[in-house]
Amino acid sequence: MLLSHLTRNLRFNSGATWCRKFSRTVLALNDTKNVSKYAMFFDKRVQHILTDITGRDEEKIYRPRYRDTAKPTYRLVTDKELEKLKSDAEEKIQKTLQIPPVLDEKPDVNVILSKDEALAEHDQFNYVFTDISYNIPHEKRTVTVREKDGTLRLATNDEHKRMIQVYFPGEGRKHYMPNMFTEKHLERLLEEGEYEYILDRACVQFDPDETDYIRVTRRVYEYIADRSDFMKLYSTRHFGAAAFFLTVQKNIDSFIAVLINSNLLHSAKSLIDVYYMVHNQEQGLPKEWSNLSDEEAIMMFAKQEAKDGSRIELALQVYKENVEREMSS
Amino acid sequence: MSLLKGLFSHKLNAQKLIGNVISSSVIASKSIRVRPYCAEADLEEGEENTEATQPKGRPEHDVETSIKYLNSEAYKTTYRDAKVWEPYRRNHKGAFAPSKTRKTCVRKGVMATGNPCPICRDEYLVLHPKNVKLLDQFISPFTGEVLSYTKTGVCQKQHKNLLVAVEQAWDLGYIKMPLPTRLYDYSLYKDSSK
Ligand SMILES: [Zn+2]
Repeated sequence: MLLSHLTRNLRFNSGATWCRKFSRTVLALNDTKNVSKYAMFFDKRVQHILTDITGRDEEKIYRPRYRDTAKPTYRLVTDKELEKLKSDAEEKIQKTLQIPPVLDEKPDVNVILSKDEALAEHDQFNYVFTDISYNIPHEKRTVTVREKDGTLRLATNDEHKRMIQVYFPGEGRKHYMPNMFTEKHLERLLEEGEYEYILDRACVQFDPDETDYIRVTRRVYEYIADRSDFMKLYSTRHFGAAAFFLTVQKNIDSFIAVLINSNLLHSAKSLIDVYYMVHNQEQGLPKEWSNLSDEEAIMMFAKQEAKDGSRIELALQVYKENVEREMSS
Repeated sequence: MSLLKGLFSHKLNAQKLIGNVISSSVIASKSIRVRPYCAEADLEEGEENTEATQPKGRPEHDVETSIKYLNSEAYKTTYRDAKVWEPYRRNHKGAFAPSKTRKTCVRKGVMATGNPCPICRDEYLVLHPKNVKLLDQFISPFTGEVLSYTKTGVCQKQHKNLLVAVEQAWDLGYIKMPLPTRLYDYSLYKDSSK
């Protein structure tokens, strides 16, 4: 592609009404598709459960990271100031634990805005026009391309991302895909168990509906599911995302077994709630679901829905034996 | 050849270090001698032969040798627990060091200075993305960024090589890069996914 050899920026004044009209047509095209199961991610109950099961291991959340160069300071504060500091810390936790959205792949844009044959052969290059005005989220920025034959069309996802990278290079984001996301190096990092770093960097490098982001995160989640290594992500922002992704993929048996082994029965039951919400949208939860205890609910799920129910039953049995042993001793 | 020998037995002046609190007292008492790492020193026996076959000047080594060296006993006895640049001290005229380190320590394949920088003085330190143990010593544990040459004393040429090697290591995932926490605006994705 010889696009964007020449780029021009164009400021759209007065609200850019015509661009909005066209972005609405793009949305309308998507509407005809079935409602995706991933859309349930934004459901309030699902969000609540996912943040709830993430866990708050404060030592893990507050562990020193790069860039936290500030040394600890000690000072005397009044009760009011202490409240303020506590709420600030809470806000910071919520930001670091915000779950990256789990989405379907973004469909490619193919919208022709106009065909002006009078402009054909106007130049040797395509022209790319980017709206660089303030206060527009990058996802909604209009980028158009004037082709050599005179057609004016919306930029494809790839072109859109590249133009955003030119005008608004994000911190830590490269203009090329880092080689660590190629299969060879990704597998090496997975073997080393650097799940959190891979996912963190994928969040910075890619948009959540990008093909490469979905490929990388899916590989990481599936690798973790194969090895039941979920607790490495516990108390990080990726725990909820992994749970939701595997729920949609109907691959949560090992996840539930791990949760039971870690004595997080209630989280296991909440995750099964999400499972029914996503997959049985019409019927809703099974009968008398809310009256069942955590153990009974998990048992019921293992018998009815799970692919590998024996695994969950085994984990539950081990858990029961441990509880009994503690009671007797 | 005598030049080569002089290179091997080059004495490093580990005088009292300003600003390096760690282990400076241990190192200050003795001077550090950089030794040839493997049996290559034995080659000196047949001097006439080696002079004809070996290229003139500073020998070069590959990464694998360098990685082996960093894990070896020879490395430990040379540097003890210090980072490779910690016992190094720049020599300069007057009380204040020039703001930049020298352009290069090696000119035309021959050591051009009596006080080569921490990387040039030890030929077994090879800057390469896979040489994580070496690169890590030049990265700040607080910010995750490459330390300045004013702190490490590395010459400009090697500092540039260092920046390239670290960038490659970040790219391949050998070294963790400092990353910001990305915040998402859910409302942007909510509409498009329904
Ligand atoms: Zn040098």
